[in-house]
Amino acid sequence: MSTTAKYTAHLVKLLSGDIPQSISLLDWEYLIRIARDASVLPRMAYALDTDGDSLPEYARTHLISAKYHAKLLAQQVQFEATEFKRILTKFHHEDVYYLKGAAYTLSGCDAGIGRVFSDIDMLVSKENLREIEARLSVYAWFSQPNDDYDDMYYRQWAHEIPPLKHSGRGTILDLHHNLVPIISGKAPEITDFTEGARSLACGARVLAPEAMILHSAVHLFYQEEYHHGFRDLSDLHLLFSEFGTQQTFWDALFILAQKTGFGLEIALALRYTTSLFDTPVPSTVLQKSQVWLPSRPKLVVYDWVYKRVLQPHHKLCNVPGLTLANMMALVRGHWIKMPVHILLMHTAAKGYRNVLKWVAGKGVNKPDSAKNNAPPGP
Amino acid sequence: MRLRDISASEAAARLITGDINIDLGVAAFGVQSALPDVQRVFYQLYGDYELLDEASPADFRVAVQSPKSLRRWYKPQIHFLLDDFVPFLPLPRSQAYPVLEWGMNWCMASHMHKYLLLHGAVLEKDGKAIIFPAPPGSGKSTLTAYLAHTGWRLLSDEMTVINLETGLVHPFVRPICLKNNSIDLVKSWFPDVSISNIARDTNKGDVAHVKPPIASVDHIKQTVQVMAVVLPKYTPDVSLDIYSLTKADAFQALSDNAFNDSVLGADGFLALQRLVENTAAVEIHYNDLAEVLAFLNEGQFSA
Repeated sequence: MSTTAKYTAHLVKLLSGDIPQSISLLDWEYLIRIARDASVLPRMAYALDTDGDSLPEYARTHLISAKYHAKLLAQQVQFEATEFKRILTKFHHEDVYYLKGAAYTLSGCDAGIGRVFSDIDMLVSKENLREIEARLSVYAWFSQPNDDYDDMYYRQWAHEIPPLKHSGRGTILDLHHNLVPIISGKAPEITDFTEGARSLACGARVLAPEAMILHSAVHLFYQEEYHHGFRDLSDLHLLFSEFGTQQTFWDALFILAQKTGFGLEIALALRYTTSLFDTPVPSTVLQKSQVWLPSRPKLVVYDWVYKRVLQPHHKLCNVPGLTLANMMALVRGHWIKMPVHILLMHTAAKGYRNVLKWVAGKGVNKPDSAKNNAPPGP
Repeated sequence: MRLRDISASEAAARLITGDINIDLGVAAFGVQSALPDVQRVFYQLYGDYELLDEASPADFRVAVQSPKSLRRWYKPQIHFLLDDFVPFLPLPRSQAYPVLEWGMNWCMASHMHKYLLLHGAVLEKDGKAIIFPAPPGSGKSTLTAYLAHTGWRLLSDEMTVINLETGLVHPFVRPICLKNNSIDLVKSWFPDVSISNIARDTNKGDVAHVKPPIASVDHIKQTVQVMAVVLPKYTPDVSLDIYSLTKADAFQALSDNAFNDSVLGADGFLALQRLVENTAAVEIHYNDLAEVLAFLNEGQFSA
């Protein structure tokens, strides 16, 4: 087994709670670094027994630390959800849905245990968006300082508005009105996704399991940047494993995928979770999903790209061909989201700004207020 | 083997490849830098520390590098990395060494939650430690440098490391970071002490680092009971005033200076509570370090 495959395989094992045989302390260091870089360190920590003596002290130290982080994050999202319930009373019961990491954590599903995320994703209907944004601003949720191009990009073409930041606590909120960019022409009728949404004990609402999982798959395969690809695929593995024990779930998932036109994304999610994580999926389900897969030659390319970008990207994993695979995923991510003329314009604008960064250093595009980012210390 | 047991040129070569893993007691740091000034100062200040062998893991693999932008030709910058992650925007090239030190503190404060971490110095005498929690500008580092060379053992200048289970303080011995006028003061008091060259115009002003005493480095794993908490406040027109603090004020002061009490949640609160309940706490206003030393040596704190 090559070292590459070794560390990815070890990581998959650790995430399911098994400690691989005969790993050295240096292996532990590498695995912890890879896991931290891939944002799965707390998930790994919760999968393992950090109280017993099955782990070396070195590993325990870092896993315990990661757990503290995740616990704080879970508390914070719980707190913010309570806040939003108070602030958005008028909409909260019919029109505010949490998505992705925040939804997994709030709903207490397996994918939420030790899940880290840097922002809270929320879905609201487009007609309420302006009013909700205005209402949030009264409670100190403000648009992040961005440059004008970014603002225009969000407002005109995206499925979300520029991130809002709470000016006291620093929490970031991504407010969505759809799940994929409107400009892609593939944005679904959002009510198809919100149908069957669940209310949690804390008052927050999350999508039904099939909609939650379909969104997770769509999000993963509509991305341009796969640094968290492994973590996101691990989410899908946990979601499939938890909800997939019932045939009714699979039926609902397939009906929704068919209806909203995201069959390909589900087929790919099943293909790569089963191949990397050995996810328990009924063979009939797997077989049925294959009608959504692309033609053979195209599938060979997909496999080549996604089997690379969905692995941990850390240099210690040294995935051969990762750079090219990343680039191909980037191109595909843009391609499916934007018509060609918009894509060209977008690429030119981004390219110009990257040249500026290369010449004048990082941070040059940011407004002055965002530049005061000095390390702590005396 | 200590760092100084290898030659400066070997240390430089190994710093280029990142093959230096240094034991700081509560954490091991793997350090990489191809910048000659960083290599030189690191070798100067960390000479007494133990080097770990190739099979030992590092808790943090850090680096200070020049980012690859064209700007390096006209207004050079450097950045700090933990593994492949760049936590801060680049800073001017002249600050390379301080950025390494500050970055190492950041690693601890952001990722080492097996301990309660406070912004504060720790010094020990006769088996009893005093914590000096303080925000920047309080004169803490000058006081630390003074005490560390007048009979007190330096455990830490910047970061107090408290064990969550035992309540004992762990040494985190590092070079002492002096700012502005205190650099010349310390040089004049202790001419034999090894001090790095000065990094000018950092966001903290001029900065230089003092090599920690070898006795401190040699006892880098020796934990100590905390006897007192002393909040230092350099006050130009007062030689020494001592104010006793209530438990509530002491708790507040420690909490204000804590790096990770919020991350630790209830465990952090309990650790702070235990610390406050078992120690005396005073605030001192001073301009005369000899008087402060005499007061601390007498050790008469009212709990």
